[in-house]
Amino acid sequence: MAGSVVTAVSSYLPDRVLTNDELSAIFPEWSPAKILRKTGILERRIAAEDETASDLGVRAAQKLLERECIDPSSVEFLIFCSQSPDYFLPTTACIIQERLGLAKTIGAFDINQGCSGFVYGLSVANGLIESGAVKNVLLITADTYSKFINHRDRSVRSLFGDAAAATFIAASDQNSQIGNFVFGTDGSGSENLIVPAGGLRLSSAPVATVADQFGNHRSPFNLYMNGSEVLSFSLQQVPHIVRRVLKLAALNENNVDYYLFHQANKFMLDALIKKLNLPNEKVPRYGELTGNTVSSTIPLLLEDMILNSRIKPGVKLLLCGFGVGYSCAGCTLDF
Amino acid sequence: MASVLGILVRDARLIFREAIMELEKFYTGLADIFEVSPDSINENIYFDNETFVWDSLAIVSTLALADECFGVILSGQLLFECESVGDIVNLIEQRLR
Repeated sequence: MAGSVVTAVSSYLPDRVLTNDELSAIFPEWSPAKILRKTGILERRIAAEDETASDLGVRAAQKLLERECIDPSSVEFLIFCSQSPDYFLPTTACIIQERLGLAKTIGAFDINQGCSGFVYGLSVANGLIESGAVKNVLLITADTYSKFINHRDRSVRSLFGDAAAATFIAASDQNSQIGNFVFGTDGSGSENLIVPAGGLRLSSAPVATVADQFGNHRSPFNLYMNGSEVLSFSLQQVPHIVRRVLKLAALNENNVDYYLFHQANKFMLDALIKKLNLPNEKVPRYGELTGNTVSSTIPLLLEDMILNSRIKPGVKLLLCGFGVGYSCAGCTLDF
Repeated sequence: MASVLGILVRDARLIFREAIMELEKFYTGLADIFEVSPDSINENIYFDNETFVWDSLAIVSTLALADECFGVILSGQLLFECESVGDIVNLIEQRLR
């Protein structure tokens, strides 16, 4: 049985920068300093009007293929993870196959998952490789939540940013670097992080925006987040996922060098660190210049750690993504 | 009998003291959330639109704080309905009982 390894990660951020100064001008009750203090975010990137998640994903993948000198025709499988696809149909991954010049013999499909999506993508890639079906997988995570966000909804506008990441997973003679996958799903929380309209359940709805009890404006076509419910889910479920991964991997919490959590925002990570009683230095952060980029937060963090030489041979990581769905997933990743 | 009672009284005092310490920690956390000095937080503080703004961020932060100090995860909706610091403390007491 072949093992699988993560050989490279690269990212792409759109050009437009949304600063705390701009947000504070729209929401004067929040100073730029307060937004930074509470969210840990200085600025986010926003996709252009005519720029979709697939555009961001293609750029991230091109960067990865060029930098790593990977011949596009050698890619055997493409997974595109996004909740902002180009169309209902066809599958965005099929469009990306053509744009990247990948072989017509590859397999390609989309995964519709948000904050848990990167770990889901790794699990599918790992399964495809370990089963012997393919020798490598190009995993692209990309989202443009900004297109769902009402510009007068500070609760989500201050948190989310657009981005894409490309990760290359390849077969190796060694044991798998990736493993010990665990999952969690609780659809009872689906209404707490949702774009209610636009799909077939509610394809036509009033487009007028309505203010909620906190003065945030949105229409049914906009992203809605019940922050307290999502936090409460995360505080309850993330410790379970972490414990399940540790048990499956027969590790204790000290054996893990770094915990790579979905980078939701500063207070979420602060709360989780306290809840799990982990030292700050074992829970690296990334997102001050990107915000919450949904399924790309973990690969963006991973790329940052690789660039800063924090990933050395022998390093053991525990990954955990959690959020919209509710959906969560965890695994280990060794270098 | 007397010694058993003594132990009970001592335990009760310890629990009481622990609860006081947690409440102090909770008030310090609330002061951070509202960005005021810790001594300006007490049960009689009512939320307003100036200093003690009970917005979604304050509610989310308080939910995390209550979990940290008391190990209880409060309902976001019930927290939203609170009008004062006293209401939050009552909510936590109800959950601890």
